[in-house]
Amino acid sequence: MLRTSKLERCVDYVVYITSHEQAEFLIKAAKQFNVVLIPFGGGTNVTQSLMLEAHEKRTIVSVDMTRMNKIKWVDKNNMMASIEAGIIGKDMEKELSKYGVMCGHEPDSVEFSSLGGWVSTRASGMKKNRYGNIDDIVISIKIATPIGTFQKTQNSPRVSSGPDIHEFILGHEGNFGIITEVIVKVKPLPEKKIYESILFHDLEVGIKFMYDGTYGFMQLECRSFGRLASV
Amino acid sequence: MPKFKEWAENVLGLDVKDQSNWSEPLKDLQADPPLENPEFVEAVKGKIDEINSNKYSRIFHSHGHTIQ
Repeated sequence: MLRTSKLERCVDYVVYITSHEQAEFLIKAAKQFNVVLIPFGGGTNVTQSLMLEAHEKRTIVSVDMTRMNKIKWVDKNNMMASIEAGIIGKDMEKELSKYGVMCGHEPDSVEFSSLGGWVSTRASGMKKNRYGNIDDIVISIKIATPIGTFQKTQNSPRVSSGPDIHEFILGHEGNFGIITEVIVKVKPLPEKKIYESILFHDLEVGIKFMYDGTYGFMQLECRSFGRLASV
Repeated sequence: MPKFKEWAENVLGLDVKDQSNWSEPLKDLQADPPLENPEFVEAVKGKIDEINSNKYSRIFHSHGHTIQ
């Protein structure tokens, strides 16, 4: 594209939705009129999730989710929040901070990528050692699919009974439906943020340090010195 | 990056004098006309927030940030 200024195949329409009911309606219409739907959050994935089949003969419609960007509620007793899937990471943290809480998921793309996109691509973040990957953060996902809407009815941090239906949603890259809402775990805002770096002379020493820090003698020290625990 | 050209020539084998691979500066972005589906458009109009077939909006939504 950089050389020719033209993509082999473009989407034919772009739609914006603002509710789960609109997603359900859109999917019904797409089934009826043989249309391909592709959910679009921040567009930052590096796994070709948005790449179009060059010879696709059906009409392709991009479903822009970014107008579904509201925080629906924050439950500070159980430390969770229900948030619309199109919200962009940076905006989500800003809005959550008004309630004194944070999510902590921080992929490199956090300024551009969306909550629904993180779930769709089973995203990881730089602070996952402290806050977890997106699959550790998610409590419940609401997804509209061609055979109906899926959502866990019990919103608790962990359930021991039955298989986890989230497993077919995490990493589905928009193939099975449109994620419209996500309930995530939240944490209290930290009192302070301290940023530090350690420079190593070469890669081998750095890797050895991380290895020792994870499995070796440094574990004890890391726990003793809270500041180093996030290294 | 003063040593970039030298590195590209030595490591990648770039020949800066070879003009056969030079590309023209980008002009306007192009897109084929949309595959229209008037029945679908009619069915969803008014039931969703917005539907458009604007060329730049279509191009923007047709790839990720890495042009994939």
